[in-house]
Amino acid sequence: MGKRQLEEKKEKTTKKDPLDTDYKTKYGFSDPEKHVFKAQKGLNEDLVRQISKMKDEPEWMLEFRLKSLEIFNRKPNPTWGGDLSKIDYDDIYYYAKPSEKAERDWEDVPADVKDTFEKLGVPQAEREFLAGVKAQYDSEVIYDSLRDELSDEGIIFMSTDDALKAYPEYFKEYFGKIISPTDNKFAALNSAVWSGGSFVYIPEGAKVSRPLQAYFRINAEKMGQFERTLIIAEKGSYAHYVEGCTAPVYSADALHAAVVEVIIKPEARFRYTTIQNWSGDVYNLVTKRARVEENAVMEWVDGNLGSKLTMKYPSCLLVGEGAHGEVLSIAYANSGQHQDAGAKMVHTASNTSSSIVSKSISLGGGRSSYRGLVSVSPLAKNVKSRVECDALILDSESASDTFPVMDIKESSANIEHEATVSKIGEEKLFYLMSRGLTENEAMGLMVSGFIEPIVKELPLEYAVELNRLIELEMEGSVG
Amino acid sequence: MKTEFIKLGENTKVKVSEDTQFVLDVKANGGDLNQSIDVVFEKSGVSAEIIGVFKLLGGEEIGLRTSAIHKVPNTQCFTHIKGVLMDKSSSNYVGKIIIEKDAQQTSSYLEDNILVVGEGTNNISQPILEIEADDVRASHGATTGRINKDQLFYLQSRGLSEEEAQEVIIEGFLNSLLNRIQDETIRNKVKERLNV
Repeated sequence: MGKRQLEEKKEKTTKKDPLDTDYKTKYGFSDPEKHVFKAQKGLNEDLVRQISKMKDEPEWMLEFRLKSLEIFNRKPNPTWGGDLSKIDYDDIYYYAKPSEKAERDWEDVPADVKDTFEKLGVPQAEREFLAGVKAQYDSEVIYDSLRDELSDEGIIFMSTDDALKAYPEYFKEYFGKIISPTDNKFAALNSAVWSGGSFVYIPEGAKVSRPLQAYFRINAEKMGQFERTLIIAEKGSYAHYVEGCTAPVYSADALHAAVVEVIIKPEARFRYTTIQNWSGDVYNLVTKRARVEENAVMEWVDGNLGSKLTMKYPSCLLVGEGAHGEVLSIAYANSGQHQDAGAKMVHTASNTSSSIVSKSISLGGGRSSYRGLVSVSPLAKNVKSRVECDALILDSESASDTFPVMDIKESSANIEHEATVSKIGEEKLFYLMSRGLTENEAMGLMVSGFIEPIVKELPLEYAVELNRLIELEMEGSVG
Repeated sequence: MKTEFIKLGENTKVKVSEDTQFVLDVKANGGDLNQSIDVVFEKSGVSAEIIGVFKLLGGEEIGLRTSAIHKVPNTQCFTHIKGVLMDKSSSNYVGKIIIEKDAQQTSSYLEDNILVVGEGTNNISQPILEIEADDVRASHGATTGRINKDQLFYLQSRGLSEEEAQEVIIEGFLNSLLNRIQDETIRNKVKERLNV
């Protein structure tokens, strides 16, 4: 965003709620809904059958969905974390299909959809450059471009729906195996009504130098988005998957419950980067988990902005000797927002190691919580784990919590945990202001510095975008 | 600073009225979290230390919960727990720092260090922060680890047997905290019990 746009935004800022308006100007747009099919509100067996039929799925997937629905109905809402009592499951659309087929050719993408991407600010040139840009519009992947270079190496990067048809063998082996529908209520919900998401397969030894990117967004009002992502990285491969989302502002609550399963074979390395910036009415309840085999490395880079409530704890099951798991996480809780984010590291093999770095910022009455688990099973020798959580509270209305659990059932483990909560030091602010910065600028600089260790791990365009977003959100927050 | 030796019940509560060291009478209790203390700050300008030290012999289990609850501005607290785990022993510790909305200018720290000496041990540690005020400093650190092999080697090279070297290291680990206890009678009592 250029300086001119920023100035425009400032002009439009009203007294009532400067932050919200900024947000609206940048992201608060929506196109008239054009759905080929839109299911009724609410969830029942008929709907699940209908979804499965429309997708022309094999019988076992329908059974999986129906079983998951039953589990969803049986499980109560979790009583910990954020306030989930306001979610009305009967007032949500569970499935919509914007156009009949997934388009491969950019020219065939409907104009209003293109327009939406235009507003998202993804330049065409950049899209051409990126190895493969996938965009999820409502619940189905409508635009799916795969570069020849990827297919030449045997890399599969497509919508999960299409992949289920093209590669049923991978689904039979891995789908729902890392995150079972019984895991939690929202994993069960996703398993019952999932639609869209990405399927990524990296063959043995392949190294993908450019990040695989998926842009997606929620568009229809009260549209739940239940994408399902399955990633398989074969032996010795490397890839970096990036997802980023922005959602338009609506007053009705929207529900986003994704499931991401990642399988990392021996000696492979995979990085999964997420920058999520939901509008302030979205419940973002996501289950992400990776199984990491011998000497493999899994890295989750997770940025949580926006949403009404986020509950997300990327996990690594370190099942192979020498496996390493890493989570880098940023949570940014502004007015009316609760970021309940964290990480889980489950060590079940010897010589495994993990590291968690979490940074959170609370302002304008927001609340951010770190909730984490490091567990070491009795058979895992010489485990090393290090957890570091830092929280910044920018005003007296905001809050921050830390709930870590270390459960160590083995004697040779070396576990460290550290957490701090503080505000920005007056003397540091004073120093910067004595150098000619306004209080706002000084504060912004301090916040950028605070999250820098994680931002520098992001692909350039995301790092720039994140810094701008925070700049935008910080505006007028100090008084 | 005065020192108080505190017997722990299921829901022990103490209010900090002047600068105080609370030395906890921590015992192996089978692992339930029924040894619990709330240290409540309702008077500004006071500070407290919470000190808990334990050494678990073969098969012993301990459960302990401490909370530092800051309700008013300008108070300080330092919670420090140190434990040694011998063969097949297990510890379960929940340490909370709660800073309420009005409790600005609070400083509260918590440190929880477990030294694992034996095999087949089990420890759960949950350091929790709940912070509602912004002008505060709060932090916690928790570590679990074995005796440093270099230290052991150094002591052995000085002529100590492996067991003696281990004893010296355990003693040093526990004494670094025990020596903070200002009241001599209480300090000696705790040391005697821990056999250091």
